[in-house]
Amino acid sequence: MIFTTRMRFLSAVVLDTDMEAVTRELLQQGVLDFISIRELNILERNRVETVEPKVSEARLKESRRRIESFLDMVDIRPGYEHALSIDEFEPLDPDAVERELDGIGTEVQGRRNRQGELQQDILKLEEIRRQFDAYQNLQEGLLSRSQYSFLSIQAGYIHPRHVQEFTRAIAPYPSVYLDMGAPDKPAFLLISLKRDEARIRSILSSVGWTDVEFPEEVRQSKDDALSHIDTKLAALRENRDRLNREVTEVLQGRAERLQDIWKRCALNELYYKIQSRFGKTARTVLFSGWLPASKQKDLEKGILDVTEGIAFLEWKDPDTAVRMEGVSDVPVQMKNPGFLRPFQAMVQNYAIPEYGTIDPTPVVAVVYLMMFGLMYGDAGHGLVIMVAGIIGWVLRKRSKKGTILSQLITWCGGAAVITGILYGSYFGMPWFDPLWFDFHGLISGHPRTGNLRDIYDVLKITIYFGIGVITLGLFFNWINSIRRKRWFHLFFGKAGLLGGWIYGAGIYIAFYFVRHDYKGLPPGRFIIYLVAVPVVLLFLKAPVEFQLHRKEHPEKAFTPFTVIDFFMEWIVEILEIFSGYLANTLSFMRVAGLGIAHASLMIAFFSIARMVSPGDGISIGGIAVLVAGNAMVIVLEGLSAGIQALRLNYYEFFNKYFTGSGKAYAPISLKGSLN
Amino acid sequence: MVKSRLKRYAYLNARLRSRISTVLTDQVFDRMLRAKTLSEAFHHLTDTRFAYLEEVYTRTGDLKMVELELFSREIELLRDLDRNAEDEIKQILKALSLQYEIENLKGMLRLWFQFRIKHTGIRSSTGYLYRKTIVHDIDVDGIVNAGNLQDIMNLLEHTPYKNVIAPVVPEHGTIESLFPLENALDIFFYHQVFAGIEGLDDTDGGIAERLLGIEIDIENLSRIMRFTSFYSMKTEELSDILIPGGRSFDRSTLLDVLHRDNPRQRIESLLSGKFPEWKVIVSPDREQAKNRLLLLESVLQGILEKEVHRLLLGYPFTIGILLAYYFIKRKETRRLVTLLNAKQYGISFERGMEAI
Repeated sequence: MIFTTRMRFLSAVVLDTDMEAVTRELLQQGVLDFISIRELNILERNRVETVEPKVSEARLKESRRRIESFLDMVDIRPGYEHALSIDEFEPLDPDAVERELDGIGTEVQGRRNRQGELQQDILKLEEIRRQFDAYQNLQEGLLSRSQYSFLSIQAGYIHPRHVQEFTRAIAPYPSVYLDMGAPDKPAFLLISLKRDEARIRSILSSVGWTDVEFPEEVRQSKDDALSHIDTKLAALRENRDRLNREVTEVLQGRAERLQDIWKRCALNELYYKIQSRFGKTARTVLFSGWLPASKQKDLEKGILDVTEGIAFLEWKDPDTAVRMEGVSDVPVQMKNPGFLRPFQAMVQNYAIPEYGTIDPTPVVAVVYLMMFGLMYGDAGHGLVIMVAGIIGWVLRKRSKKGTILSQLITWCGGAAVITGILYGSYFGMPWFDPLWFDFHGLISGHPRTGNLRDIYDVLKITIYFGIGVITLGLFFNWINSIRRKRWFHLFFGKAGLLGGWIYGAGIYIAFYFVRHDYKGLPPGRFIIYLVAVPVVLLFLKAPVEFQLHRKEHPEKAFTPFTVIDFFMEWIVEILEIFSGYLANTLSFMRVAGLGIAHASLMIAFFSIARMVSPGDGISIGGIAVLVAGNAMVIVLEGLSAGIQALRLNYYEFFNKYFTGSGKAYAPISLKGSLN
Repeated sequence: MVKSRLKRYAYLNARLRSRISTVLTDQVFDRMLRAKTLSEAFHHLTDTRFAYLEEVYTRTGDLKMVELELFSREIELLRDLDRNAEDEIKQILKALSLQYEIENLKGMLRLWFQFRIKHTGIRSSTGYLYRKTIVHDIDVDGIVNAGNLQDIMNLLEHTPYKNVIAPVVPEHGTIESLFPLENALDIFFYHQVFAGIEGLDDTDGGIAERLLGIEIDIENLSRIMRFTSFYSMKTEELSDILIPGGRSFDRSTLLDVLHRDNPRQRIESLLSGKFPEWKVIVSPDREQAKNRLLLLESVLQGILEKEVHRLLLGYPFTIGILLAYYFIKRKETRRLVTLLNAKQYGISFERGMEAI
């Protein structure tokens, strides 16, 4: 947990007849982070060929993603975890899968295309409605002969045998016709766009249209026509929406089948993904990869079992493997308990730590939550975000979505509840006495209890806190340097022993100065031991580095300018160390700043609430102000405190020791996520 | 000065940078192009800022409705920026909004032209036109159903467009092509943007002129290519279609490149003075480009992209952020619309990739 997991490197040779059984075993155990055989030195030496899987991994991935896309359209997400079992593996015919998916795709697209056609009809009809609605009544439309009239409205008879022909011919044009006659003598009111008038006239003459006059009551109204258009529009919209529902039904109806194919695709993809990392000779198959040392025995036993002992397995520790096999990176596994997942994600978001160094996740959890709590100390507000986090956690878990952010919010809420109790603050109100100090009282100048009497005391606490965090960072750096055998870095690095010495000296001198009323410094000999000695030693950094580089680059010549370079580097290094550490430490004052802002905002909202309340108590208006104020503080301060705590971790803590050059351990496993 | 710049650009900068950060990645475009059907292509937008487009498509099944939605959202954004902008920036935003209004007006004119001049009937509906006011009140139905060009000009009486198109409408009032009208509208747009720039200080004005100048160069090259290749326009006719205000090339320079057998040397001398970075952009394989002007256009596109990138990395409180967003957004929208249409018409992955 404190350090990244110890890894082992496996080089294996098995008989080609055992390839399928070994693949199954490797997939079943799911612990090997494969190194493609192409990346190893062995390829050139022994002329090992790579294995071409029967089905391309890319093709299977494409089909799997397509299924996920179909299922996602109906809010179904195939399970990534614990859903796959090697027992269900059977080779897949990719052509058949693609044909089946194409069929579903065509079915869906066909309905969408029909929806599109209906949408065009809707738009045309809406155009007619918009323009028809502009008329006072039908009479105005009938009489309109102005060139600015967009509609052509006409009434007429058609012989019953031509009705079908008429309706068919008129269909492609944006138009509405109302049947206003009797079955034996059909009469129509036809509304179309004037721009189509010429074509529609030709249709009307071909069906024997005879113009007629409508009765006065029909002409004085447009309601019938509008209602007819609306009915037609409603029917079109319903048809369009029905097709959309049909798409959902089609996909829901196939969901079970799709999930089944998905499972098979995923299994095949993983299976052939493993084989694509294999190499082969005439009779044997070779593979290599990394796994946690704790898994070595199980994998060895599994492979030997399925090959009946006919397998050559060579295990190497990371240093030997890097030296002998030419592999570049040892993958990093960060193994922390599940409840620390949000903080592990926070570390990984910054970078993956280098193999063999400290995994700071547990420390980050403590430091981050302490920072957040100190900035956001209110038990009421904390409780609100904790409940919000838990609700989000449950809801997202139900919908099989990531819960890391919700977990983090819950943790932060919990931290705020604790510091809120320590500060005695509950929605900005002093319901109970503080267990540590009265933050609100301190800000307003009337602390109820506690040893802390003013804001400077709070600032002092955060400075102490900052010194503690930075010192921890330095300590981690020394451990990392020793473990990685980086002696130069351990001694001369900015966060190395010399840097730490100077930082410690700086702190001592600063506190001495403050304790002596900003008038006295430690005695001269102390200053020499504390500052002058490490500063002088620091001068050796550039020459030592030059000498070390020279071993690798003998062409690098020593000239008089080199000495000037040494001197300049020394000066810059000193300035960087002094200003850097000072800035890093003072940066932690933001913790107090955010806490002060939180308390001040609440005090301000209470003042406003009292101002809007007429008597001594708090009126309804005042309560509204308090509710809105609390909501604002909960959201805004929550965001600020969360971001600032993250920033302090990343910039003031991580940069002291964190070497984020690691590569995440990514075994091919049935439980891993597919991308 | 610094304070006023901060005040002027702080909101604009924050808003636009947050949007720039969500521009669709090449990975999304790649996945969309690989999708087997349009519906599946749309689904790849689910986790992006364009998720609303999938919603429109699943509701209507109509790609043109999707394009209309995209169009209206862009206008909404400019309106939102305008509400929080100072007067100098409002001028630029108004000028940029004109581009949307002009595009919409062109759409109306094209429908009118199909119906009145070509007598082909309007197959696509006026429902795909944007109906709310962008900058000026324009009677959409009136223009589409107008009897003639004079009627259109009357309908545009209270907009600047009447005076823009009046000089290119022949006395007899009939036209064979909409190109002169559209060209006049394009020139008017750039003219308005330059007018908007005049209100800016030297720093902002310089940035804006540089970017717009490259943009106009690209547009002019594109026009020369289209009209010489597809419409066999003669060299002497080309001067009328070129937009003034280009940064590097006047008409004779462009035509000179057009007639050279080996344009590289000429392009090199043209660009090296004004854009020393051009050599980085032109990779050797670009020399093999079939069309000689295509080479120059691709170089200028690269320079424009580099300029935009430089602006985003530089001092944030200048007009550069607005123009950078404008160019990035326009490119993104064009790519997206092209891709969706490619899917609609079953264009292959390779051709689709080439098109976007």
